[in-house]
Amino acid sequence: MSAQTRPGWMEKPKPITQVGKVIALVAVVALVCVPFLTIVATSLASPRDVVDNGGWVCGPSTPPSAPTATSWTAASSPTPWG
Amino acid sequence: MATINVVIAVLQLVFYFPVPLALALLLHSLTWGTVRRFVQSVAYLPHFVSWVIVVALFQQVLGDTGMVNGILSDAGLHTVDIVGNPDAFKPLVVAQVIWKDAGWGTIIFLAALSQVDEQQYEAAAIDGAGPWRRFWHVTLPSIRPVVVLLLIMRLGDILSVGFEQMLLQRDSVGPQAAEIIDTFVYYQGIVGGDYGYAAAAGLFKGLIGAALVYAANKVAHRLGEQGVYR
Repeated sequence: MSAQTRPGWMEKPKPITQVGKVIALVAVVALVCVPFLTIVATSLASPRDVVDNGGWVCGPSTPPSAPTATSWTAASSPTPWG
Repeated sequence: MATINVVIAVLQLVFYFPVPLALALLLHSLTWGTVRRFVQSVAYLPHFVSWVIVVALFQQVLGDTGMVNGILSDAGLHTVDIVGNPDAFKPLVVAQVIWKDAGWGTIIFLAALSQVDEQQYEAAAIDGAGPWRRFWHVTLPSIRPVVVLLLIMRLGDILSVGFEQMLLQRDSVGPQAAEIIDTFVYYQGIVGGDYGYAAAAGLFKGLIGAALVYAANKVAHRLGEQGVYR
């Protein structure tokens, strides 16, 4: 908390309140960011990593590769099954 | 079908509706602008993800072979299939809605909170009111009209509990757990070709929604609130 932005009449928050707020904010950010980052990690992971991890890659063991020709074909296809 | 619809709607009203309000109050209480803007932006993100991705995400985390079960089996504990379990379907649906739309739902509450006159807080603080008293006697009364308005609008939409979300998960838990009016109309009318029956079910849903808006608006007027219309 920045003391400069707190109005003069507002008392300094209690440490327990501060800790509670930080926990709540970290939980909100983690609940959104972790699934998002794993989506990105899974989409960039090698097929071997995806199979080894059962479809859900939290941290690829091999460096992510650039999109393959198949990825570009799938992305440029007018229909997902085309 | 209608029972499932109503149960899910009530669960969403009880568990989903207060979450954006609580999150907005938490964000509003932050005096550090950078953190506030960052959390706000992060919380808005899931709204822009399609239901297909959200359902796949929950399957990957809470499904039979998902992340949670992976951790449980690694720890030598019993695994639980939450996604494919019809008994856990209703809480799961509510959890998905909270994850996807709670952040987006804070926008209106944050707008309402920003309109509260700062001098009221200052006057209350000078009179000796602590944070909780200021919250109870200044913040809540100031945003009550907006809360009532959103509640009335939510009541009008009570029988719409997410067609796409249900359609995507209907096969994994079965129609006895996930058949709502919208999916019934789709299967009966579009898939089955029984347009008359499906139209009647859709009309029934609209009439119930209109009646609920009317009733909730009357109750709001009785309680001294503005409501949606006079």
